[in-house]
Amino acid sequence: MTLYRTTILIDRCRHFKTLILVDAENADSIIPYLMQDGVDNEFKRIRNILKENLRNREYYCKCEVSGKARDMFEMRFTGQGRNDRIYCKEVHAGNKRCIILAELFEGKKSQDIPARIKGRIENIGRNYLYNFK
Amino acid sequence: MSIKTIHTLYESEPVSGRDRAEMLSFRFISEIDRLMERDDISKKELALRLGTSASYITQLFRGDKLLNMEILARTELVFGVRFCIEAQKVQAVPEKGLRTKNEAGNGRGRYTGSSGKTKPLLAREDTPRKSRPAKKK
Repeated sequence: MTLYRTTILIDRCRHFKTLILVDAENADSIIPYLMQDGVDNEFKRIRNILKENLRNREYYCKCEVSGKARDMFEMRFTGQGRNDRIYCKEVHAGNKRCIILAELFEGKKSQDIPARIKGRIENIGRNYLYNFK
Repeated sequence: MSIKTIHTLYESEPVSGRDRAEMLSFRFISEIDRLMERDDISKKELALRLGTSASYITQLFRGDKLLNMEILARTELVFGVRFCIEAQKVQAVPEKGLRTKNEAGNGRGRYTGSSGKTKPLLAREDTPRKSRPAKKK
């Protein structure tokens, strides 16, 4: 079942080739989290890495949950004793790369992803269709 | 205490010298990350080959510590590559705390680059060049 979602643009690279957006329905939880002290600096680093099209698996890597979680990536926030994730969906349109911060998961405790979160990631990967306006 | 709004998220361009150094380090790290994936090397293994600790590698990847030339040189040896360097002009961005020569009042024109593009840093395979066959007389 396809779910149509809207997004909020929060950052972009100079040439508008990389856009960083937030899922509008989950923005209430994601944006205040990103504005917390400590997290904001880490997020700034991640954005700069993404905007320059660099790789750094310490901060941003492919989410290997299952084949159903297509184009899903995770942002890692591990500073100051945290172990949080923001699951993102990447959409490519022409030469543009859109990174949508879709779901926040705070306090990852084990190597495995809990079944509830796994289901959510698969759902985002499979069913979410983002609208960019 | 400064008030944070959604607009503060836009203010992400590296401004300070430290931020810029971090980004420069991340360009090399990005290339090292790609090489690690190519050779299927874990951070622990890389640390062992570089003669450092795994936590130091993590600190480098996280930007908590900046890469130094010695580590870069050892990385070249580990992966059998050579880092190629190219300086390109970028469009001048007004910076806080840094003054251009023009602003300092040397009477010259303002520095502006023609291209805003930056090329990714590349690690080239360190293979010996093929010698040209001798020309027949």
